[in-house]
Amino acid sequence: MSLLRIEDLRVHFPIRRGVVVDRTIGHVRAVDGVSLAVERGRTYGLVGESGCGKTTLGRAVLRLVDITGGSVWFDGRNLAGLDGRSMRRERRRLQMVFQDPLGSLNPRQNVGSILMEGLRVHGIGGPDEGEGAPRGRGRDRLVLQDQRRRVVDALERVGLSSKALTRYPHEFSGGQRQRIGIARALVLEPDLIICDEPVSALDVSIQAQVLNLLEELQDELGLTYLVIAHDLAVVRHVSDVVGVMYLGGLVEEADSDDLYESPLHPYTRSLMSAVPVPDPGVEDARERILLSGDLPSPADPPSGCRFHTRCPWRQDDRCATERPELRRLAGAPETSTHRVACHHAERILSGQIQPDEERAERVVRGG
Amino acid sequence: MSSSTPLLSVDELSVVFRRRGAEATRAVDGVSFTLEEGRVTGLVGESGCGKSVTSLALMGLLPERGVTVGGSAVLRLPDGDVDLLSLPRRRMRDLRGSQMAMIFQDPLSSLNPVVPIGRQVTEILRRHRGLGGERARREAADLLYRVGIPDPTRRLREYPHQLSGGMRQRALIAMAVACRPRLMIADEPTTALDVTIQAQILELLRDLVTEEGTALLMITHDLGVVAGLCDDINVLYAGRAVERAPRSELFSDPTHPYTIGLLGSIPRLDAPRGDPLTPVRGSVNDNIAWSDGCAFAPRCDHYAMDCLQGPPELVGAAGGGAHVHRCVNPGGAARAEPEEAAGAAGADTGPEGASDAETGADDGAEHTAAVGEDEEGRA
Repeated sequence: MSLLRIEDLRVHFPIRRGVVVDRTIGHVRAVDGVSLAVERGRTYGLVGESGCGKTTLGRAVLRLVDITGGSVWFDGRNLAGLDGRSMRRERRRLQMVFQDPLGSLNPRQNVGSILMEGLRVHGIGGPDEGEGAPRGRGRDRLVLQDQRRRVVDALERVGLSSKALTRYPHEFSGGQRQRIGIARALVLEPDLIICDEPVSALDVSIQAQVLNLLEELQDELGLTYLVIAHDLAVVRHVSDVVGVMYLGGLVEEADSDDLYESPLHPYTRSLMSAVPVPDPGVEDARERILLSGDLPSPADPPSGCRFHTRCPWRQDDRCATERPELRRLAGAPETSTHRVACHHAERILSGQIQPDEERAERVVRGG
Repeated sequence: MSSSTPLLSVDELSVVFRRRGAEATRAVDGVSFTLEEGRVTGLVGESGCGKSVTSLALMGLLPERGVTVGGSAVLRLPDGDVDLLSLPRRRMRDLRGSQMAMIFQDPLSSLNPVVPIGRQVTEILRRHRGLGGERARREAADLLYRVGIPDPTRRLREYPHQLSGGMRQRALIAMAVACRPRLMIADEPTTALDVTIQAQILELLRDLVTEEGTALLMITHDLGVVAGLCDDINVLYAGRAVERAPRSELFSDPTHPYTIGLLGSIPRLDAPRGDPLTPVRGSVNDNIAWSDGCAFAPRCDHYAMDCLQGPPELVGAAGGGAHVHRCVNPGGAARAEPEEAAGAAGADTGPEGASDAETGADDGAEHTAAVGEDEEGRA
């Protein structure tokens, strides 16, 4: 059974207008019907450009934003239906690592206190209560000792020493701060860690250190990750399964290697062709699909396929009227995990439909 | 392709920031390169390597108080050469916008939020080309159209916040090319943009260089962007160029350990999965001063005692030709003693080593802040 299963998740934010009378004049459909499953011990990567709803989806899993509809099954329980108190208890097992390590650490708390806080809130640490267990002050001391041991342990796992305990976030470099953010998640021994753009604020060489750290921790502790990022190369590197989001919906989901070998959705293709590769030979030779225009507003998403307004492969039938379901290709084996939300995926793959040169700003072949 | 004399020759450029009660910071420490018409030169490096300060110094945009700029930057003009670094402010203002232009990372903060796009574009045309009224407006609309903004006459009346990020960057580029500058500096022009929009903007810059023969100085942290756009590449580390090569050589045969480390840090879309990345260890906080030896030595895998015998020079790399690097021990022929390396270098991959780097964070944090650590802004 999947550790996390999201079914038809929707998060809509009301757009309000008016000073005296608060009227809702519409909704931003940040996440609009997403279903996905994350297997235990694996990494699911969610990729998309700004405004596609990937961050909102991550926050919705933790119930940091209100869920409009759908369900979030975590280890057999529907998080969407939990009350505040039970949800807080559940969050011990679901932790998050944020993009901006400085913004997500309290500047007035030292590292020790930041890491202890979670343990205190959840009452973790100390001997089991029962016959013969120390009570009162004696017990408090044991609890504190145990918590301190857990904190130092978490710090060491992310490559920091116990010297960091008495220091404040501003004393660390960006990469070290992100390590502290990871340690804060680790100390609660969670099952699932949601990493929202874990490395995009970091320098390239530090990025690689943090990515390697995340992988090492997964190997050692059997963690499950949901990694949310805009950088397809980063996501592909760390993930087992990759989901591509566009304007609130999943347009393609596949095994990480499959996705690179044969991207099916026109959006995935253009996204992939736009990612720069640090190799002049590859850069000069490859086909580039430049999309025209910008992302449409999620408050007023296009009808039918969300991507049809920018799609170079758009056809006159169905694309503008019928929203495509995430589905397996016709003729693909039952076991295939590669799914795509495009009416014409088969004919695009076989080359029966060619991209419209005018709609794609330019399709550059060779250099 | 390349003319006999370069359009801009930067020689031993240095920028020192002084603050009262604090040690002076050498943000740029003797950087030399040349720009030629119709070619793209890249300055690549991570936060704090001095790439942005270099561009600001060239454009004369650094504050005068507390900043010392040294070296020379000779720009070839039709009526004789000028040194940008010693030019009077008035003359510099005439050159900026007409002969040289700059595109910044964040298009929203580079545009005036309370002035319509149209007036911001025509302002340049009025100032440098003496165009006014209807003619300036027509020219402005034409410029916006050329950089790929649909419906330009409507856009001219709009304010910056009404444009998307990609459109704003296009508008900035339109302003930069308004007077057909011979020299253009782009400082992380696509870092704030989504990757599909980034591809559009890079394509636009490439067209400008090939069609107009502009010389472009491209400043970026992204080696992928460099690979697709730049002809010659300078890799900067701690204020100095550590390697310079034509792009084909830099990527196929990098010789400086820092360049190799950078390339090993990037997850490549086309590489087989599962291989761990091979990043540079430690962080810039571990640097030593160039005067004491190679600043990169504490993070270098090929570190030897030679590396600490004074500042290394830029020397020809094994490949020869235009490929140079600043390394005395590129192949790592002699490995350092293990204990010694651990003591001086600090952060290894193990928890013990990293804790050593930790102790250095105290004084290091302030240092990087002074150099202008821009990593937080990178979205």
